[in-house]
Amino acid sequence: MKKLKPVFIIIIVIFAALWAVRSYNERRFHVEKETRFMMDTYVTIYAVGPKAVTLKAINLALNRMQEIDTKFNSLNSKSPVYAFNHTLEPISDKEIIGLIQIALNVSETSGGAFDISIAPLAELWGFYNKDYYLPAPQEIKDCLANVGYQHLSLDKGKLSKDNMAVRIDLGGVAKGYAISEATKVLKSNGVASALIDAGGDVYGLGRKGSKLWRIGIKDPRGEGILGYVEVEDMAVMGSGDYERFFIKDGRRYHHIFDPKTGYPTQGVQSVILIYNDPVVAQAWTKIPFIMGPEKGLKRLEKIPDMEVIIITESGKILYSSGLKHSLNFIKEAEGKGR
Amino acid sequence: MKNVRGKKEDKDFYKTTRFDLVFIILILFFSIVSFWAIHKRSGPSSGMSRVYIYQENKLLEESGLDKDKIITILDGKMRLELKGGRVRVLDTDCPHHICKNMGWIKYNGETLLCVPNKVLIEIKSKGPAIIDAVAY
Repeated sequence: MKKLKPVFIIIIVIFAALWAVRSYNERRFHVEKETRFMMDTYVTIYAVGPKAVTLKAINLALNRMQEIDTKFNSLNSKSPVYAFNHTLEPISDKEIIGLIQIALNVSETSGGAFDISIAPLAELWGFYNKDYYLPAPQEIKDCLANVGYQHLSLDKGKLSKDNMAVRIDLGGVAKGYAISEATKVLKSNGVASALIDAGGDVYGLGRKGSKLWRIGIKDPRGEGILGYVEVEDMAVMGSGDYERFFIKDGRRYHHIFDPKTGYPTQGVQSVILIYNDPVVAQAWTKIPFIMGPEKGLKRLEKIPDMEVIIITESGKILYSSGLKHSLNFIKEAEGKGR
Repeated sequence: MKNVRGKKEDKDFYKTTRFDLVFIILILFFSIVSFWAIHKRSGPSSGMSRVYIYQENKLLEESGLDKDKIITILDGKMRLELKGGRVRVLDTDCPHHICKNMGWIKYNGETLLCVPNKVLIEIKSKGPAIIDAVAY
């Protein structure tokens, strides 16, 4: 009996220690989640960490995203972007100018393939009021006279335009910016591991415990997902011809326009882009649509550390050389689990 | 004498004492608790996926994916089809049918979204998840 006493105490101590480690891990790796409707979609943030920290951080991050949604939305009458579009009043808001500067850089480096001045075209085709319309060639030609980033000038922190009919839409970069700002809020509030899912545009902050964040790539026409990539501190942004479109006489007309022709692009179903900066990533997702799949892939390959998956009109999957060993097709994934 | 005492002690060592009993009960207790905790954590097997239908964070309906059926929500405005462990929007009153065009979803974490109706359809499974989110 006396011999067993110390053994008994040691075992109790071991169990108590194991229990304490388990409780600590549960607290440390607790996943908190909140979903809110904004930017015409649902935004969900998952954060890993103690509940008291993650709850507050998620709430603040979502508040910041909502703030950006209101401020940058060209259809919101209180936004400086709305005022710019409906008057000759320049934009001087520093935050908006900062984002416009990034967008104009992408316009220049992509040879005008990405363009924030596409708004008159989107309006003509009915993509704002959702009253879709197939314009006559002359209407498109007239509209194109007011499209093109050359109509915009950025000088001394102010954006102005050369005629009243020029309008801008920051929808091609604003979601990326909202995600970028949300990650900053999460980090400054003590969250090192989180996943932001803004309606298919995703950012993986840090790691999910010891594992990387695993992001599925949606099959644009079929069911489920084609495969997945694993990321850490990286945005996985998508654009597709299936997001907003209408079909007339058997042809699909979607929301991604070629600023040179004034028509929705053809040849690409969807683009998934992987890059550390969600703002730049979101803007470049449009490029393969406009340049075409092969030319678009070649252009994106030139940007260091940017990876892309392009699904062509015929369903062919093209991807950048950097993904050769890291893009996993779903048949491999099904057996793996995690 | 020493040898006799030694033999006596050895004999006692194999006897079940009160402490041994407490010890065995404790081991049993921890085993059962651990088993229960692990079981609760891993949840049902991967075949036990469920679909959850939300409108503005409010859960409208949930169902297992093991049975084929049609779910009608929002007073008939939307109908969802559950078939072979998959879900899709079968009918909707929204103007552009984007949610319907998204097709079927079947993996843990996959979602369907109807923006005009503010409806979110999500598959969740307590088993191991293949993916954390879907980019599109």
